[in-house]
Amino acid sequence: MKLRNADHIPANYEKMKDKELVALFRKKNDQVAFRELMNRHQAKVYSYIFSMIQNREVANDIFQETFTKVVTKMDDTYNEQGKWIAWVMRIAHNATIDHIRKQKRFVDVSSSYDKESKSDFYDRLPDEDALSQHEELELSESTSSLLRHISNLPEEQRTVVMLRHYYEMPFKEIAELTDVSINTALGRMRYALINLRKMFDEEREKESNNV
Amino acid sequence: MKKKDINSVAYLFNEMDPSEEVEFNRELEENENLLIEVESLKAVQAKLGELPDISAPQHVLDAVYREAEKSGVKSPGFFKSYYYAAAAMVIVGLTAGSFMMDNSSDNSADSVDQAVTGFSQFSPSLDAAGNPGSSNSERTAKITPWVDNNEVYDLARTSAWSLHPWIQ
Repeated sequence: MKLRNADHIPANYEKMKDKELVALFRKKNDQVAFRELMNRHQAKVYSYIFSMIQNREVANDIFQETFTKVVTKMDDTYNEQGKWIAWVMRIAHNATIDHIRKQKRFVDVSSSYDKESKSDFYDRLPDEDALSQHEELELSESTSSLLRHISNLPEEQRTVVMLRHYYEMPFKEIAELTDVSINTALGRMRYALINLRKMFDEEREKESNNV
Repeated sequence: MKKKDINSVAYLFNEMDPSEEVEFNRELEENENLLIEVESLKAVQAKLGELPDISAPQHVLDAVYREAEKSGVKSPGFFKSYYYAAAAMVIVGLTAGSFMMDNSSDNSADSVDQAVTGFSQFSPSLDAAGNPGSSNSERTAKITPWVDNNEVYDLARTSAWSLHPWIQ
């Protein structure tokens, strides 16, 4: 079944559960079902990738790579008993982390680990592209400052924050996905919140000094 | 990381059992520092709620839809050919099986014939004429089954009690 008009999705599809839509796409090649799945989840998947990468072009590539894997591997690797979006999320997360690690390999700067923030030199480097990317997305000032602060968090802390926020993923699942214990996942979230609080405080101080 | 540090995050994100939550609430009432920490973390958590959902650009979505259409076109044909191959295999198997069954039933009848014929040549209790032209049923009716007499108790003359050496 081919679908040309992206906006026209019959009402009965909107009422279906993810599982039913996935079954329709897998068994009957129902493109409407696939589009409804995308309507439901694409923004969350894209937001997760973008907030981790902070680069529009790279986020586009990773998003496309993720869904290419989703449509080609659905018959082989997706188990219908699990949540479809959790499976997609795992693919997106792995692709994102792969990209971040590849990028880090190319940076030839000696690392210095900061015990207090539990981060290394690369993690604390401010992302200069981030602001222009946020402007391009026409985000409000407070939202773009929030995203900028999040982008300055160490990768593992950022991952926990984003997986929790965009997928409301239980910490047990986050722990499994990131291959750590549940206590480590909770600990990373605590450090992330503490680091963000510091960043907000510093920002507030700067603003008050400017005034 | 200490358990009590993790507890404040577990509490904020509703990851505690009801009993743990009751205990943590009691702790919050008693420990002012813990209360301050939980409140400040809660403020940051609330800020995270402002994170926007950013939609993928339309050209990226279109590329994904094209990919889905392409992979969808391949897969039913691919599976259909598998279905046809499997169906053909089943039909061939069934046909071959039915032929083999016919042959084996014929063979088994022949082999019974041969066995009975062969046996009839050696057994004294068989039809003395040993007529090879006679039917199976006639021949089998005349066969006296072989019995191992050592294994048969003569129950007509001995009871189960009398068989036991201690009772006698």
